[in-house]
Amino acid sequence: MTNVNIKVKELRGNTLPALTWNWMNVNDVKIDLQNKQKIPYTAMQGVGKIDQELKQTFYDLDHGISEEVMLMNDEQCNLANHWRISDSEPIEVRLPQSAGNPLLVDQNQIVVPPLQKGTIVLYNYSEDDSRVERNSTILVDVKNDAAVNVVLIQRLNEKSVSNVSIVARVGDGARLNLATVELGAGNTVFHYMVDMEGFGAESHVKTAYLGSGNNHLDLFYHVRHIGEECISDIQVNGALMDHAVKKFRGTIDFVEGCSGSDGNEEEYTILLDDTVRSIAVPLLLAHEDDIVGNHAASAGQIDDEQLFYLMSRGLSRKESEGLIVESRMTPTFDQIPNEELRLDLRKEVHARILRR
Amino acid sequence: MSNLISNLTSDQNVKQQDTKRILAKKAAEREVLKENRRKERAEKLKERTYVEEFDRGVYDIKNPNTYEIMLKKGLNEEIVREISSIKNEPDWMLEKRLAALKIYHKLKNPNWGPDLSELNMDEIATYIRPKAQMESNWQEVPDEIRRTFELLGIPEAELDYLSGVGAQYDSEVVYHNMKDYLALQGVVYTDFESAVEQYPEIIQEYFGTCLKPNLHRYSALHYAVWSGGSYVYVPEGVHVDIPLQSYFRMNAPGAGQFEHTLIIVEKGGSLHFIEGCSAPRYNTINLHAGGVELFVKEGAKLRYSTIENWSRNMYNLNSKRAIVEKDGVIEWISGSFGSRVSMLYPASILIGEGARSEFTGITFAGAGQTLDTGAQVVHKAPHTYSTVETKSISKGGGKAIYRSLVQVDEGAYGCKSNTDCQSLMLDAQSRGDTIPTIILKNDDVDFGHEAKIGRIDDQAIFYLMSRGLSEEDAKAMIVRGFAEPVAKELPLEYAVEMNELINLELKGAIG
Repeated sequence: MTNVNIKVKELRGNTLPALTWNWMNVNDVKIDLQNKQKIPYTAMQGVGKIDQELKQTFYDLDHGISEEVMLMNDEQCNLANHWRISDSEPIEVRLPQSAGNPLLVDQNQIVVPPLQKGTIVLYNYSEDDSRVERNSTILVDVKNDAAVNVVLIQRLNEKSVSNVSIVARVGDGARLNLATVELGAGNTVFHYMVDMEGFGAESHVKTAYLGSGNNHLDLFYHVRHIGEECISDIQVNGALMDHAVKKFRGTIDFVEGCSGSDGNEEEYTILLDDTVRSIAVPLLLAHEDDIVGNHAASAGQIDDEQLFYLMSRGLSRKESEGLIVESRMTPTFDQIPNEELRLDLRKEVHARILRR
Repeated sequence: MSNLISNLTSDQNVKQQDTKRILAKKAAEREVLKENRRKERAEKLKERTYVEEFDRGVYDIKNPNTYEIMLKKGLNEEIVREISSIKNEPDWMLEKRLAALKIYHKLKNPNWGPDLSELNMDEIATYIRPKAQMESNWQEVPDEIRRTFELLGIPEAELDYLSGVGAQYDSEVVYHNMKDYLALQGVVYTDFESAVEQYPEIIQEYFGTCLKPNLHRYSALHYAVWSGGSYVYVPEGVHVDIPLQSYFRMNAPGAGQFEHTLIIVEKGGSLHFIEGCSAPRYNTINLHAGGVELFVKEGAKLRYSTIENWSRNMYNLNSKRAIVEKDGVIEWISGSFGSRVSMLYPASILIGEGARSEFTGITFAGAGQTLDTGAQVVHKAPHTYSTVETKSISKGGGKAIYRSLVQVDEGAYGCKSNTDCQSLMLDAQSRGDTIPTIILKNDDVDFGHEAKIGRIDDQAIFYLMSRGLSEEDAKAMIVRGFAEPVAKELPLEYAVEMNELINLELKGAIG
């Protein structure tokens, strides 16, 4: 066991591409990674061999959550995976954590060769109630005319910390579908950055989250339209209860030359308790006129009429609330190929709302 | 065995060649598609011509820079003391100025927003007294200054549509007048220096409480060197039926204007206040860091309209803030057309149940301009309502940035807030950014936010052209229609002025 030599006073990350008033405290977020040791991860063996050149290329593109977090990821790495996705069965990767595996520092490379299509699911969860940490980087390289579904599911316990950085590049006519499910971890920091370099490249993001207890969620998206006629959308749906705090910070960046591009972001939060905090910073940055960008954010309690309808059908109030929240998350859950897992997640959402 | 392997490899080879062939074909197809689509888009966007600078007519008339007193450029304690002694101020005001100066020196330029590094306080004269006394008879205002305001249409407006007018030229107010019947009802409308002298208790009670000097660097600067501005007091239940207007004109190059506006509308009163700003164009940097404090009491209503057309050498770092009590209403109408850099985000603090804030704004950024504008609303009490509707237009490399905050505090239940911001970009060199922040601290809110950014809708142009309009006219009509929500909130003659400003800005941009 060796201590990794990283000296940082306070880790911060997920910095907005365009800053705003400092006092609002939305320009960046505090990163809570305490484990500075290099310890092995025993639940899984690495797949394939890390392509160092590719790693550097992506590192030049974006520093994920922050430079320091990337550096820690490099020095403490205890699981390295490299996948070449081809037309085949979906790949499902289970990443359990427990007292025996308190630290998961994984590096993942997902390369989709031209014309190939595929699905990969990364499922990270707690097996017991011990505090665990995760610091993950995921690089996705989607070559010309390829398509990939990347599904990330996170179900760590409330004491735990999850940090995930995804950096992606999408080529000509290629498509990246990302679905993320955030159901756990007391402190979640999520970072997604995509460069749509190709002509007609597409990025579609769907996120479902449920914040409860003292959960703190920071959901950061940075979608860059670089090629012509790129299409992107971000859909974030979730519910907050107890003392949960959620920060949604999404940016659609229209870089000069991305003529004919179309970008949308949509965020909808259901507020279940008066002690929750919901913060949204939906940015649109346009350096190109021949584009269309839209964003919409809304938040509120569950619609009375919907509740009334369900309750008039004989469901209890909480059952009805559970059903409505679950329905908002369905588009994201539908991206999960494994039906058993899908059902499992639905059940958990439902149960947590019932327990309220 | 070796046969099998060679078969396999040849299979792989065939497969690889297939992939290569398909890819090459796809790439070739894509190149053709790309070219075709580019042509289609180019046709839609049509050739455009640009006019870099244009004659802004009356706004650009320069008077010779004559003055009675002009403090030397720069900022230090000595200068602040000098301003205070010229104004013959009470000690408490000087103390406030010096305290603010200390805050100014402590604070830095913001790390966000437009670049302010070109702004050097050593190059700016903070106080310039024109050769004029404050008059309430228009004919006694010195000819040259009077002519400038007359060309800007100020006294005419007074006769026809306004119940009172104030005119500030550089650092001092040169004219202030109000219709008699309002004075009889107890309405006070005066320049700020006179207010400090005549109503010391009220000013001491309210001054610097809504807009604090420590809010940001330029608010501190404002409190250190403020000069001029207006004070309005509307007593309980009095409705000021026609608008009051203050017009701020900066003539001197390399100067700053720091007027302070304080308006109190007592219980059940109402007022419409109009603020106009302009300056001729110089090659040196000018600074405008005014301060506006508005107090809207129970059930009162205040509409604050601004049409700002500073010249393109102006840094407009103005701060405006309103505190709204129970059932009070604040309505902001804000048009930003001029200046080189603007940072302007009028804030509404809703502290009483049922208070309401409505913000309607338009920003038009042309070549060389960075206009960072928006609004802030803080819901501090239950059942408070706010709407924000903004339009931004950028052309010729101009940057229009919409920045906003909507915050709903703990315990402020039953609040409603709706934001709608739209940006229109007229060419590829321009920039249009939207940077909103939404902070919700309780669950009983009804909140919506929508933003749209992009080019003029082709279908709308097509529709208008099918009705017999030329493409140019169709586009101009769409832009005017885009600005309509702001125009309709202004008194007619100001709406006309705004439309003219838009026409001026659009000249050469479209068609």
